[in-house]
Amino acid sequence: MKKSYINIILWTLGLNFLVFLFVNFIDPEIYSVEFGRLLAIISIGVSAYCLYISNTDLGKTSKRLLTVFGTMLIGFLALLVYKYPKNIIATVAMFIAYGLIWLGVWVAIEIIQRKHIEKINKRLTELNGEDNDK
Amino acid sequence: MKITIDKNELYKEPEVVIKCRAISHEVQEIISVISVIGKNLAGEIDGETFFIPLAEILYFESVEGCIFFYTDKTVYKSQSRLYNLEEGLRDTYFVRVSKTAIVNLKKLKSIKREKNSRLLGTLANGEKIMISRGYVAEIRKKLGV
Repeated sequence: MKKSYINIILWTLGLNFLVFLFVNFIDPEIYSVEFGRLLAIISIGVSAYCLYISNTDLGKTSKRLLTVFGTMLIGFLALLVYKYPKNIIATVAMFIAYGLIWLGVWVAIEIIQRKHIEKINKRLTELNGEDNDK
Repeated sequence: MKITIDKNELYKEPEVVIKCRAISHEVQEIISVISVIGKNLAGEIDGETFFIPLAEILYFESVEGCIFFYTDKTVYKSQSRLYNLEEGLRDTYFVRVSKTAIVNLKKLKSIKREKNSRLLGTLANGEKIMISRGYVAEIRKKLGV
């Protein structure tokens, strides 16, 4: 079996365990047979998600972050659907809040990175712009 | 900047002493340039060994356990290990940019962000090289920015 697939399986199991602990922490009564089944469904969803992420052309950190946040998202949505099957607004609100947080983090990282690269390029031009243009 | 040359027949080899308040960009550049003067690296092509001045090398790359280094037009095979090279080139403008490559910053033209968040460096000869974000801090440190 490929090393990357073993990684994915380990990540999936580990993250699902965290989701399980988190949900159990929020509401211990939710720990039931139905929830066990739901976790099995989440596992399939997360596995598919991890496989999708692993095939994308992203950096290692991005993949890990996406896996963690993606797993959390799937876990939260599953929890909401399980606990409040008729409360669509809560589900949508959670989805939007999650999206906004993720967008904020992404924009902040983008801005910082862009500034760093601008500085590096400026320095590279100072350092050897003339030499390299020859 | 003041340059003083002390010529004496008793000296066995040239020695450079830099007197400065702090390590500025200018001082760092002097150190990096001086560090590679007269230094060559052995590289092989088809079993024949050549000695290439460090200043001419664009980058080192590890490919399936073998180390290759690239000049403007030629690729040489090196017997060194990447971590040994990294250690030996610490005071120069050579810097690790990924798990598999060390680049000569004097030969790096620019860095560009790709759509997939990866970084791509353009070398003096137009060649592109992948730069891992994890090594950007090291590049910034070396460039003093």
